[in-house]
Amino acid sequence: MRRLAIILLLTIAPVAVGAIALGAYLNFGSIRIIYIGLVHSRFDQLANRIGSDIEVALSFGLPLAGQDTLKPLLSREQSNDPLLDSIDVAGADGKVLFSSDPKRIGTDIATLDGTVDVRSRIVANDFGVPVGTVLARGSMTRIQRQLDGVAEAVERTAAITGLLAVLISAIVILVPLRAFYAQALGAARLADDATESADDPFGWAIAEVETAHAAIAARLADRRGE
Amino acid sequence: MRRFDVIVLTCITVVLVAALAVISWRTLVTAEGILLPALDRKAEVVGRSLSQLVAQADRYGMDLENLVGVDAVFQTALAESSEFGALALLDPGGRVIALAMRNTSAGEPLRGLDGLPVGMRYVALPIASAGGEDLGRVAIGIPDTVTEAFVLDLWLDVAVVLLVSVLVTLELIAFAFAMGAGSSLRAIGQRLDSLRRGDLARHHQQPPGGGRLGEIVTGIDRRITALRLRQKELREAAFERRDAEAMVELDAIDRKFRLTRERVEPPLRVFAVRAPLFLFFFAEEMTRPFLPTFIGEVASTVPGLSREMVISLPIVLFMLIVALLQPWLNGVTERIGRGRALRLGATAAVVGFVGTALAADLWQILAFRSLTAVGYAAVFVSAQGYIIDHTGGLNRARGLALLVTSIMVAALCGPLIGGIFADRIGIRLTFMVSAALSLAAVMTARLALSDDTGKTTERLASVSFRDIMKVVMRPTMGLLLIGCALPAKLILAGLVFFMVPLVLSDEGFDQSAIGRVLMLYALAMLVIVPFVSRISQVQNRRPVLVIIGGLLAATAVVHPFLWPEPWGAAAAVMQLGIAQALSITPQSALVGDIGRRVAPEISEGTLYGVFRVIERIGNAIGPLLAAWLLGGFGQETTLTVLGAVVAVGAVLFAIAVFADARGPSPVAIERG
Repeated sequence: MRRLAIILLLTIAPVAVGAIALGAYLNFGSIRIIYIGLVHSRFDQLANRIGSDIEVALSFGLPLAGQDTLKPLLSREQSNDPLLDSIDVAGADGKVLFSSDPKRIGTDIATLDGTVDVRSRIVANDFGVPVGTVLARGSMTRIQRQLDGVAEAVERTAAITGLLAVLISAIVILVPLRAFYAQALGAARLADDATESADDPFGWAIAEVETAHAAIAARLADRRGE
Repeated sequence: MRRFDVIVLTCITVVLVAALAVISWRTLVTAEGILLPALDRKAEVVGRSLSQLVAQADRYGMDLENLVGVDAVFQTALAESSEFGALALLDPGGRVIALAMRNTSAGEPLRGLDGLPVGMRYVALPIASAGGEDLGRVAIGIPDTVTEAFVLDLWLDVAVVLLVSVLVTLELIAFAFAMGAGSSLRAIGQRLDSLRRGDLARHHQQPPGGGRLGEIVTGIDRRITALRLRQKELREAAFERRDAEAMVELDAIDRKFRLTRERVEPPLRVFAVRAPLFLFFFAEEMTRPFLPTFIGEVASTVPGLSREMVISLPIVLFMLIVALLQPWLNGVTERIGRGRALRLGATAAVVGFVGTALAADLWQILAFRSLTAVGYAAVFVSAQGYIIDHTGGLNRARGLALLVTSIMVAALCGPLIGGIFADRIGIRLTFMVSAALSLAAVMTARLALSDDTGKTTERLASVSFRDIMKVVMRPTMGLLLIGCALPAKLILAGLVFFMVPLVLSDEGFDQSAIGRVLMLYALAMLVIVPFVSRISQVQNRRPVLVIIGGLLAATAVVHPFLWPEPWGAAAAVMQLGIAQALSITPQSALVGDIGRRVAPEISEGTLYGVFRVIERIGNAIGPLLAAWLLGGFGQETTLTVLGAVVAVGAVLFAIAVFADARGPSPVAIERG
């Protein structure tokens, strides 16, 4: 009984823990995807709007490098969004022409930086020829910091519910197992040749058959006597 | 025993539902703290774009009241941002000038006194003219239930986790009760269940474990055997004395208590093979939703082959290896021991899964998927051999049904969880999860089948090419095998394993959605097969069920023409599952029925051997044919051809059955 209980616990408890861990991971993972999706679509909208403004100016004959009004616009938009590291506008050669962060002017947008989450929009002239790119560069650290609070809450809840689930699963397994075991041991009397009671939930069929057999046997014996 | 299973399963389900509900609720409450501000910010960005657009129109001298096309612009903006419920243009007094709303399933949303839809909170952005004059506002409505709508998909995934956990728990309970004292307890439980119902049929299952519980099982069986003997003695005595009344009474006892019946349950040790088998097939089934996509991503182009053909190569090779190795592996697994062979097969698959996870090109995928196929064939043959070794004529079918159920439950859970994992942790890591599950299969096999020294009671017939030709040349039999069995597997592997995952992935559906579509096949099979098994007991219903199943499977391909994806694929997979659930059991039984009539000189073992080989050839041809058609002629032609192959096979078999029924004895025809 003890060994069986241990085997059952060792097989079912990991399933319960695994299900809860996976459920918690799915919960957090979904929120993470939704949140990052929202941030991305916001960055995309922003890059789109700036890109459209640039294209309107281009169509009026103002070259990209000459659109000086972009400087205050980029700074204003960046300061409106705490998750943005910078907003850059690069020329066709990939060099940053305007940026909300002055240090980035002249740098190459192709330079990889793992700490930023970049959303971009190509800017094209009236003939559809790309003349530059708008980049909304989000700070991964700040985005992650927003998610850390959710991660902590999910982890804490999962740990508590996981522990409770294992405890309850143990009780759920042990209580009926004990009852089942006791019932199995109780069945030992069925193995004896004792007379069964017709009210016994397990022995009633044996009792009924034995009674019927006895009656038939007695009648057959009487017939032999006749 | 069943009561114990039900109690434990119900409680575990309630515990898991409660735990997952608490986690989801806490996540949602905490997430609102970042999601709602993020939504507001997005609304501000969208609102600012729209307000600038309106301000620009004002600068061009257009009157706000008479702006043309505002509704269309707002409707487009609304379509681009699924989180928003409404977009409105308001004049300085707050009157609605233009409004775009998202219609819900209940129709157009109710509007409040201000003319804006209710059940939303609004983010308003001012519109200012060039001179700074207030022109009005752009209001963006965010539904109050937006966070709940966000996590709707999440709840679907959580429900999947719950379903799979419950099914895995069920398998593990069966596993725990298949060993040592557990098996004795199960044996007593089964006897007590029978006694409670008044069912005194003889149990064949003897627990492998001894001890006190084993003695109780033996004691109960002895008591029942004594009753059976007494019944027999009384019957003989009544017959001798021509006591009709006693005979009638004894018959009534027999009928009521099934006293002279035999129970045809498989032995308890057969249950032990289920857990390793389930875990192993679960591991392989997990790869179904993303395997074609993964091959497509990793494999480079091969000159002269379409992309689809390249993708199909590892799948076809896998099926081919399984088909060719299985007849040969039976002897090998018998020699080295079924348990050991199962462990070796699962270990080979562990290496195969890990290798596939790390594969860098098509050739590596081919090599490691081939290794997995060898493992797959070894595990399948070992499990089948183990069951055959430990069952006899009476309970073999029930024993093999355990194997089929295990595979079907794995086919139900695997794609669901595989899809979720692939979406969340990536395809390569999901292969690693499959490797871990396969390793768990090795460990459970070590625990449950360590004492496997069972002697083979009956050898599985090995099948030669001559055997195949001999069987296939009998018209009715040939049409059953080539016209029904082969196309059934062809369409299954071609459509469900190859085409659906590839097409849905190409159309942008995530792996979780593909997994949900694929599991419909197993779901239909699990629900319908037991019912069909009962109705197909009547021999003359079997050909009809096979023909109906074939025609239903053929017409399953029309759904992708009728419904948008993924509903078209889902309906096709579901109908195929229903169709094959109708035909699979009677088809298998018909092999024996027709074989006995038209080819009595061929042993039943050889007939079934040929049947399995032909089915597996269908598995290999399916993806190859689908890939060739898909690459060369497109989706519509592929579906049409796959459906036509199945339909033609079913019709030809129907004609053969009809001719059989009208003409003289089929044996005479076929020998003549």
